[in-house]
Amino acid sequence: MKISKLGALCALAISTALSPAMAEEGITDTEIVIGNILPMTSSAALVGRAAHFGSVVAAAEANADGGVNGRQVVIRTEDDGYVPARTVQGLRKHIDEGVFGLIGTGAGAGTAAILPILEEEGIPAIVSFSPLQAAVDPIKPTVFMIGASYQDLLFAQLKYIHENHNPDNAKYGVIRQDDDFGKQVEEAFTRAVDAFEVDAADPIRYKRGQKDFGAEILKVRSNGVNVLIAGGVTTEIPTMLKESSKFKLPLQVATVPTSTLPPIMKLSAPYGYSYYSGDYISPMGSEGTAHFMEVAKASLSEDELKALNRYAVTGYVATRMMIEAIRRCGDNPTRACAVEKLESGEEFDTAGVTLPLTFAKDRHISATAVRVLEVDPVAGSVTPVTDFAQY
Amino acid sequence: MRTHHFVETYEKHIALSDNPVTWSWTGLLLVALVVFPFATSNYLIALATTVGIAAIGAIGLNILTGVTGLISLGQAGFLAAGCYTTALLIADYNWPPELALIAAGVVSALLSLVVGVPSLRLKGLYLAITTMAFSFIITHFLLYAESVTHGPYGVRIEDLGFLGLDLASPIQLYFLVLAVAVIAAIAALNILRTRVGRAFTAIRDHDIAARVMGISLTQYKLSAFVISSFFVGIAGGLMAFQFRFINVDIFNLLLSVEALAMIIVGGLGSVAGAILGAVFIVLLPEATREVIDLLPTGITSMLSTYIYEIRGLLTGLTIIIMLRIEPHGLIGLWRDIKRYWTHWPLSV
Amino acid sequence: MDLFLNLVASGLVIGSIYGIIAIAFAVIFKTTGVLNFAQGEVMMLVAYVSWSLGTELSLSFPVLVIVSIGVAALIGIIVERLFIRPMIGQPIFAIVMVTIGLAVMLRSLIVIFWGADAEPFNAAIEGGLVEIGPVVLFTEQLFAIILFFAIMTAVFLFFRFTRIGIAMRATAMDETAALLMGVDVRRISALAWAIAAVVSGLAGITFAIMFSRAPDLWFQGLRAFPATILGGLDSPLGSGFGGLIIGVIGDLSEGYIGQGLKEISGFIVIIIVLMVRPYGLFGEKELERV
Repeated sequence: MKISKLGALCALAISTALSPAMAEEGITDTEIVIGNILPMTSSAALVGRAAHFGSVVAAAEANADGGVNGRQVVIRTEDDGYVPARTVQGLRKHIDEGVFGLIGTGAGAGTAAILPILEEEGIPAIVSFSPLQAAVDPIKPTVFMIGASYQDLLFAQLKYIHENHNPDNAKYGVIRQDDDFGKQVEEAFTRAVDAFEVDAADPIRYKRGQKDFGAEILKVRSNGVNVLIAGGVTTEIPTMLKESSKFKLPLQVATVPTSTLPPIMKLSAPYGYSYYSGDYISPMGSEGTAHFMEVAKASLSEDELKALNRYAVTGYVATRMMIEAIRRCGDNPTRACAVEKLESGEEFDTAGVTLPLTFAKDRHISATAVRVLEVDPVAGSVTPVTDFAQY
Repeated sequence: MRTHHFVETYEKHIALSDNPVTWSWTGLLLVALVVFPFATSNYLIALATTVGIAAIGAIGLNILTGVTGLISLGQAGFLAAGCYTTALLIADYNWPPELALIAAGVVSALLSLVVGVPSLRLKGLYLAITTMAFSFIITHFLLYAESVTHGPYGVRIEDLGFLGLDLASPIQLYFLVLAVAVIAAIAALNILRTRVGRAFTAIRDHDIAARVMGISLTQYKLSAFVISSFFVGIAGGLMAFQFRFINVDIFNLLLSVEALAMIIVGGLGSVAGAILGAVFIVLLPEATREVIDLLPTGITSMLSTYIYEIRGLLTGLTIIIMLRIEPHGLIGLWRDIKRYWTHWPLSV
Repeated sequence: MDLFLNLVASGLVIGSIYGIIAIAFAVIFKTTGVLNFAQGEVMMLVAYVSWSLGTELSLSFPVLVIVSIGVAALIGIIVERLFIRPMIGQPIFAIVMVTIGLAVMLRSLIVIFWGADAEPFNAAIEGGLVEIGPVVLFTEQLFAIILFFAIMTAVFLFFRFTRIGIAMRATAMDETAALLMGVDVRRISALAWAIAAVVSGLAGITFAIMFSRAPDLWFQGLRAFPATILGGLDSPLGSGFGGLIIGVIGDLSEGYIGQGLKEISGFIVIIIVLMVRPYGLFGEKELERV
């Protein structure tokens, strides 16, 4: 007991001693720091790096115009290696070094892990890397999100398939990862099965990092599944297609947005499937991302340009919104002011990537309208087949 | 030149240390550790907390692997068991954190019996892979037993106090971890100088010979498992306090390999070695980052695409070079320096 | 029945890969007593180099394989010479730790050189379909199985009949005696690393053709641990069969039980087998004298 009292006493002394120094909010007279915590290594590095460079492009664009009311925007990114506990560590590090607002918040479970800290510290954040319903429902005072949830993204595709390409004796199946991401994938599946009253096979779970999907596809085949959610994160998707092509399974395939990334399309090309994907932004290479690419070419090196993909665009949009909110606060921006501007209901221009976005006090989510895309990996083309709609 | 210190009685030989110099240095180190957080940033405090937790785990693993010679690649499993026990008891069953932390040690220790009994006949790498297998099975269970463990959603614990400390504050958590680490180190040192500890060493050096001398292999191997896992479980429980959100992703094979790396790099069989190893392995990636930050901005921006890989490269290289210089680990290096110092100017 | 046979075939394919990597583990362990934690990374390096050779020089597949074998042997020898040879005589633990450091290094190095993206590994053997009764396999999958048996045979013949193979067995049995009989023990270690690099490298190339050339290829090395242990660490051939067993059991348990058991079943099998045979299925019981 003695030790504990001593500890408590010490701690008390420290907290009083340190409290004036705690005002650090990542803003000085010349700089304003916006942070990312993203998987810069691990299997998700393909998307994490892209999101990081998206932020960098937005900052470079603002800085080329003289910064935000005279302050230069600095992007600081911590690597979480796709591990939620490290997302927490990354945020602690950001807080320590001073950060004004946050864009990249790790993948799903990472975002969930840091939500309480964001609330405690009152850090404005725009979740954009991996949409997570829990981030905005119920509403957290300083947390915003752009993008539709995986549930909506996948449900939209299943709905499209159901209405336009429904096979005879439709039977739905899902192969999903055994983590929080996979959970969301399965929820889309369950929702679709209930809504369309179709036949369904038992969901199949696989361990994260698994490479070989021979047994899973054999199960899909023996269950007679013909509408499949291929719930892989990246290279799992082409592997599932490959195994399916072995038996020439007649499949309608729904996937998450990573399936539109060039390396994944390239890997999927030989197997004769075109598949569906869904997104809430314009695809890379389309009219909508022209402005983004133009700025990117001016501000990134050759190597860095190669790392860009769809996740760079969402990172860009979110960072751009954060910068604009800060700009609207004038000469002495505070976190509270940035949050107020974000939820003011005023429009934020996204340079054509989406329609202008808004948040409101009772709605911290935006850009939830989903468009179903048809992906032809052989041609390397991503074609929208529906308009943006809410699901 | 300092003359050698002669040990004249058996009691003196097994004493923790009979050397006042050692005692005073240890005291100074403790004072430094207590003062340290007042002079630094929250991030460094959090890093020191991580080191402390890793050290407790490494001390535990060292009892099993370094002292008793039973190689374990199952550290992640025991950490996970401890971490989940604490987190679930607090989040779902409203246990006081103090009890939940002790429960982490107990559950992990009990679990080690399940692992230990079938492993009694196994040696060396066969044992290592079996413990690894158990570790995978434990995390698999944690992921799939959703009704108990929340499965993929992970467990979140709200703000909590511990004997009057507020664990949301980095400094207060640091002091808790420091206190537990000190207790763990003293406990381990004391276990190692009793009959039990000497029996462990005998088993490591030659198990058949140990048996001939009347040491029950079953009893002592299982004790090694239980004692070691208790420490590791406590470390896991502290991880729950530190992260306040846990899921199974962190408890992967690399964590077990890292733990093994700590005791090998630090020095097998030595408590101080385990602590040194934990410091080294946790801080190495941070140190490489500092090194890179020292480079001119032109070079860092050129490297920006692969900055994390370059850190990995430096980490691996440092481990290799360190072992090339001193294969007995940091504790060996420490002893060499000490010898050089005491023998100077006659040292070679 | 159809499902069963296909599951077995699918298990044999992936089991062949595990088996081949397990052979590499066993060769190094048997001759030097070191468990090489960097085996997966060495395998990945060979696969990447081979991929580059294949795309840059557009070699035909048989030529590519022969060149890759040479490259792999060279990689094995260089790695041994640079990192392992200087550690000879040091505690085994220190050497194992060096392999862990080496693994971390190689992983980073590969991403720096080749980037983080996955790329297809196109080869002539790829893409065709083979039907054997109800079982359908891609040609590269069949190749994996054939490669497995070819390597098993080669390893068997090598250790049984060649002079150097016998010297390696002698070294494994008693290093001092072998030295006295005129065996160059240091060269044996280099040779073991070269063989392991070639064998695992071929598995890496096949794996990359079947899936993709990606920076997480190294993880297959760890996946092959159970196979080595199941078969017996000091038995290259036993380790190989261990791989097949783990592969088939994994796919069967996924096919009929599910619940993510594919990744766990192998471990459960190991625990059960080791309780009965603590030295693996084909490992030799070590006789100890006090």
